[in-house]
Amino acid sequence: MPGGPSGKLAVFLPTLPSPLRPRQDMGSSVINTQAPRSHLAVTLGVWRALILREAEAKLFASRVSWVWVLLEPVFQVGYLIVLYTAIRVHKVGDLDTAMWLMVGLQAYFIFRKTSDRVTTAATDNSALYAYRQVKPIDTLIARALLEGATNLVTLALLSALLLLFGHVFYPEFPLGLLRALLGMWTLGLGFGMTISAISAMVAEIRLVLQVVIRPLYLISGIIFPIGSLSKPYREILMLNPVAHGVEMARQSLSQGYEGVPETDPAYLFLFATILLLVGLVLQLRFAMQIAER
Amino acid sequence: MITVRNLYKRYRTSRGVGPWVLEDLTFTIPLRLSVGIVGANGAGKSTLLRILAGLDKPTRGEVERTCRVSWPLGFGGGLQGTLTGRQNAKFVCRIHGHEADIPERLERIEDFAMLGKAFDDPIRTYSSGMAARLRFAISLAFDFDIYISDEATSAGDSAFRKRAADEFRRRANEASVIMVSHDPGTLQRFCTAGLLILGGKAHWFDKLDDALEAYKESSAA
Repeated sequence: MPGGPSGKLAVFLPTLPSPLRPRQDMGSSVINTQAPRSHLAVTLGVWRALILREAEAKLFASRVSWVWVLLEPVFQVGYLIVLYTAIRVHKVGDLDTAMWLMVGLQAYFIFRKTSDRVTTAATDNSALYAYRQVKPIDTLIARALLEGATNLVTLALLSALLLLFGHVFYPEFPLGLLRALLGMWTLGLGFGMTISAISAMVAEIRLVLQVVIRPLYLISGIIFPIGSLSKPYREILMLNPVAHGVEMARQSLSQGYEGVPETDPAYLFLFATILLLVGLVLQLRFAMQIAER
Repeated sequence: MITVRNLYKRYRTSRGVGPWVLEDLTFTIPLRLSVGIVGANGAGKSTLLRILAGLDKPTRGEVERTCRVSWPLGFGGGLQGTLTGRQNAKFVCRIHGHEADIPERLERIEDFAMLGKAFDDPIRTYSSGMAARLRFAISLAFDFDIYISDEATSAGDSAFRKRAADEFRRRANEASVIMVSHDPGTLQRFCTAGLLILGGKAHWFDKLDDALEAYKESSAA
């Protein structure tokens, strides 16, 4: 292998001979370093540091940024609920419309926000590659974890708010809901990773993607029930893995909800896993190009 | 100790493979020996520093480090504008695995950088000298065996430069520096040995003055 030890391997070589260890008897103010860390410890430390830093940057960029992080999904859900109430749709299938909208939107957002944030993570954090412990892939994973966690917090906030208005959030299959969110999160991470790597070589892909991805909101069955369409159209729309995740999330709310018969968790997870693997391979293969962009 | 064996480096550009920047470098930098790297602009000095620091891989050859090497201290990079000096410093402590003693280290960084209240202001409000001081102070909070400096010590005002030089001199028994600078005075203050990069090759000089002399001759010719 050309290159020899580099990257994380080189920080604290395990073969550090004892005379090279930090001295304690020099009478200096030098704080003693800990024992050499394992690669896993370095990586986990970097993830932790990145997540905390991202959270600080995201929540406290200005005095009200944390308010916006929480309120943005509330507005999104809120105006759709008002819209539906105005046209007097109170039930979709067996479900309360508010719940149907809220859960569908949150499932969609965990995909969309994760993929958006992951796509730009490598370039946004390029200043940090000055530290050899930080690799582009670390910034992607840290962002994805933060987005996932944020989404769960806003889900809790939304359900509490809706409770005030008499809409009870009580999923019959909480694990099913988690599975749907996990699938959408993985899909977002895999998609983001792949696009991030491709855009390191073909920068224009992001422009194309902005146009291509815009109708996703409409065709994923977030604001209208795909189940109400006839079979041939339904089958075309259900080629989109995001639509599967959205329906899975809704089906977890109540056994009585029928939704789209074509919904298949395996399809979503297959898609997500393949994208994740492709993304990882591309990220590792083109790590240098991504960092140098 | 950093051992470099038959190191080659070239970059891949959009127009294919570029020319060799560094060709067949072999040298050893022993512990506690400070080395000044001299050479013309674009000779590959910063590229070599990046490789020594582990940020970049050689195209061919080996680099072996058996000690703790800092990141390249210098202008740009490493700090996020929207976060405060304190938050940035905390981040660097965390990635270096010093979760437990962050308060002590932050105190040291705060003392050395002497930014006063600005330490809790976003970096984007800093002057370039202030940012350089912070960067330098952060790096001194860790006990690296070798500090890699890309024009870093020339940052800040003269009082800060003097303090930085004093700090390095105080640590001369436990740490050394590998530095690039276009100012012979700076190099002479810190370094004993010299490395001249010329035409992709490296020439080692046990005495820095010889390296500076050879560099002068090469650029005059």
